[in-house]
Amino acid sequence: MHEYGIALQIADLAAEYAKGKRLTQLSIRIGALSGVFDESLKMYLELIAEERGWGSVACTFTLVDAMFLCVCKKEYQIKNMTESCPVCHSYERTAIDGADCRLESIEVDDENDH
Amino acid sequence: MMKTTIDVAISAQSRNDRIAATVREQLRKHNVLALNFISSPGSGKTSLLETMAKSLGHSLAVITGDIQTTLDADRLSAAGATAIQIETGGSCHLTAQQILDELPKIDLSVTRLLVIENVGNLVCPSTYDLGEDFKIALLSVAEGDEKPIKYPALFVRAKAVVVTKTDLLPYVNFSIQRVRDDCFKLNNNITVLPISCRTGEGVDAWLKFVESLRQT
Repeated sequence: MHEYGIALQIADLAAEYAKGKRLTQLSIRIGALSGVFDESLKMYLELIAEERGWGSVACTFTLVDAMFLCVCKKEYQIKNMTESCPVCHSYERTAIDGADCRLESIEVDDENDH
Repeated sequence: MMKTTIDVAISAQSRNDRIAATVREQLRKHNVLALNFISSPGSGKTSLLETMAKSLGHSLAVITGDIQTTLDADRLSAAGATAIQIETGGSCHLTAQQILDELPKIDLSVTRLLVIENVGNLVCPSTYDLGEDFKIALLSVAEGDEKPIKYPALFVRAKAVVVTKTDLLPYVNFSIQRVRDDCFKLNNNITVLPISCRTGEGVDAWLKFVESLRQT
């Protein structure tokens, strides 16, 4: 349900970067540790697009696994958070990717304002 | 139709994070330690805060969030803390803007510890920065010891897990050791602290732990 607040933030960012041009696509990157569910985010983005009179805006999602830097310097991606480093089997690590949900890019219609 | 792709590459949380940074700056200016309590509803957040209020009085300020009612703020005010209630009306988590809006109601010159008691929810509050120094997870022994691996987003980010209601251990299947082992896999900087507000077990250790966070 918190995807609604995230969708609002994405929509505001998109509008800021569109500078009045009609939005046709949003490309969003969702990290596995971000706690964001793509289907819910899509639903709320579509609702917001309708409320704001944007017309049809396609949403594409790239789902990214959590990536960690181990204390042994190995970088690795895991799907299951209880997996350890494949080299040294340690759990001492820092998350270096997959913790956020990002608006990567937008596509606008050059010929029409919304 | 001519289309143009415009790169953005900005986190969806960037606006919230900027506001959280403002909250953090204001709290640090007054040397206030800030914790964000996150747990399922009924884990014992308010009971722990009531217990803390009896020792800390008005040096403890709490901003507490619920969908509805001022029940929690009323309890905490009666226990001696400065308590502000946010009724979200439906939102399942607090935001940095809500915290920033409430800060002027707190006398930060007498506050040593601010606890944000988040809306009861093991999922949504986990990834929101509210300007706190540390997130603290609470998990009662009645909820099941597998919750950390089922809900990793909170436990990878928390500084500590307070295992509450330990007086109920004889009546439930719950292994504190399992919670320690699983939490270590998710986050090997996490501290697990068992507590019972009813018997007082673990309360002193918790208060000492909170005080130690000032040096971190």
